[in-house]
Amino acid sequence: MKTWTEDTTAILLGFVIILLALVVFIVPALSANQSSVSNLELPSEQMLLAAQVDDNALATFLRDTVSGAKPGRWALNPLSAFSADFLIAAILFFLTLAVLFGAGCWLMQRSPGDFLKGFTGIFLVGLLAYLLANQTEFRSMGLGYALWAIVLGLFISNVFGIPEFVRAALQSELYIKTGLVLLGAEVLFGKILAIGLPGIFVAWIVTPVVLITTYWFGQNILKISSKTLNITISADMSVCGVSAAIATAAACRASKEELTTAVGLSMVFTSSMMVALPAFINAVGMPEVLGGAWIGGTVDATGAVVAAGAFLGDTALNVAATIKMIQNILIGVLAFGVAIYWTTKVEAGQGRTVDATEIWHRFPKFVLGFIGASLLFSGLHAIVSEAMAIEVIENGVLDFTSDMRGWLFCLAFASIGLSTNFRELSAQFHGGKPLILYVCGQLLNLCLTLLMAWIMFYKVFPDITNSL
Amino acid sequence: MTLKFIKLGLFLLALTALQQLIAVANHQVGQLHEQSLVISNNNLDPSALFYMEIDMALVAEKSVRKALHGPGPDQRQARH
Repeated sequence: MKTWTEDTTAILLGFVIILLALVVFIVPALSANQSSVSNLELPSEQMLLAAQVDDNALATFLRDTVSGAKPGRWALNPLSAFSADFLIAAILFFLTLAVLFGAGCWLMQRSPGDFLKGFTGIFLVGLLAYLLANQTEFRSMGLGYALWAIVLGLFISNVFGIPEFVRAALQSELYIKTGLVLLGAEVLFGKILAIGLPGIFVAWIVTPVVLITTYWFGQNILKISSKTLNITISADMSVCGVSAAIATAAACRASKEELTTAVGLSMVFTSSMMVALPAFINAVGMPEVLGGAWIGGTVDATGAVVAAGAFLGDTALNVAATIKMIQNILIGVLAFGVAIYWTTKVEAGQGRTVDATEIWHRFPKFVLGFIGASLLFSGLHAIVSEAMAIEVIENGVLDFTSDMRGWLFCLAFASIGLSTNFRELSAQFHGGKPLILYVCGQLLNLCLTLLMAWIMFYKVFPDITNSL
Repeated sequence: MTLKFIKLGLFLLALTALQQLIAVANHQVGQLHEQSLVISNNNLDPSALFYMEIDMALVAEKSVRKALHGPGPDQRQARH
């Protein structure tokens, strides 16, 4: 039996990245003369901590390397996306990832040499995906790196084919699971109470109801043959789009084609809803708080929620983004719940009870890394001062890990595209059931979220609404 | 090999056509035009997957907390 599986390696790699960020960002801030900040008003303390982070050469180097490795914005000439520092940052970042994941392959008793040979190809596809995602028009429609990494990967593998040596680097599961451990660090449970009870009701009561109802609808009415496809689409539509799809698919071991289907549906509907929902809210003259809560609870991607909320006004933006943030936190519970349900009920078979050893054997262990990272950072975020939580944890550590996580998801989608053929993918859409599931689930989501937001913000807690 | 390069040409053509279609729609359709202005003026990335990737989401949460609960505990403590 192998000691290091994909799950345990992902936990190790994820925590190596987290530990590096903690050492680089938090330790200098903690070791700085605390007495110099303890008597300051919050903005002054925040400015001092921000200056300390900026003065830290290693922190600046890490941040610049990870963010500088991505091409910049461009409109017509793709070459304008590459700055003078880009090449150095991209090479450094490529080498860092190659060493990190090469070591991961070695732990899993796969050849690091074979991995390194193929990794260049995957990294280049990832770079191209970021390049397309940063094109002005594509960006304005929310066509992000996840979509382009899949599309480019699919095109290259299905038209040109991929050389054998690239296959060793197609470690989509390892990239996804490591990315999910990093995502766990961003799941800060303290954010749940940001808007009080109305937020919890809109984001934490409606969302699970929609998720379970949609899954039930898929199994019993649409009779979707794959339970993993059904739960991945249901979670993707009801929780927070692509990130929920990735977490759910990994927790229930959905196939790469099923994850691709869910991500594709989410991207298409998010782009449409980001434009249509604010237009409808304006047309009917809906109040900003209600409109914001509706957008926050129903539009999938956080970026699209902010864009749609900003279109309506500041109050709508604040409410929409906060509701979405509370819903984002649900992803931790979702991944854990789906992993438990799948190991104890679905994989065990109908009516069969399984013992604890078997549950442990089947349980996707990376979920423990995800939950562990979430608990660690939720605790840290709660115990440090507010200025430290904002400047060092949110703007320092988590800003860095979220950039790393973005890259890992991009590499994962590039690997998925490169190892999928069109025929396998088109089979997922047979009979149009995934589309029907998404549309019906989203209609239920729209109705229930609007009803709950109206009850909570206008009938039960009007004082909160007046304060916003 | 020729067929593969024809397919590559068609792929690039499709990408350009999509970009042009969005550009025209952003100029011609009022709602899309206003939305694209909001996105570019605020430097937003609508494809951001999680709240930590988008600064405006973090700022929005802090505005809501401030509106509902007043200044944070540290600020209150500092004033005492």
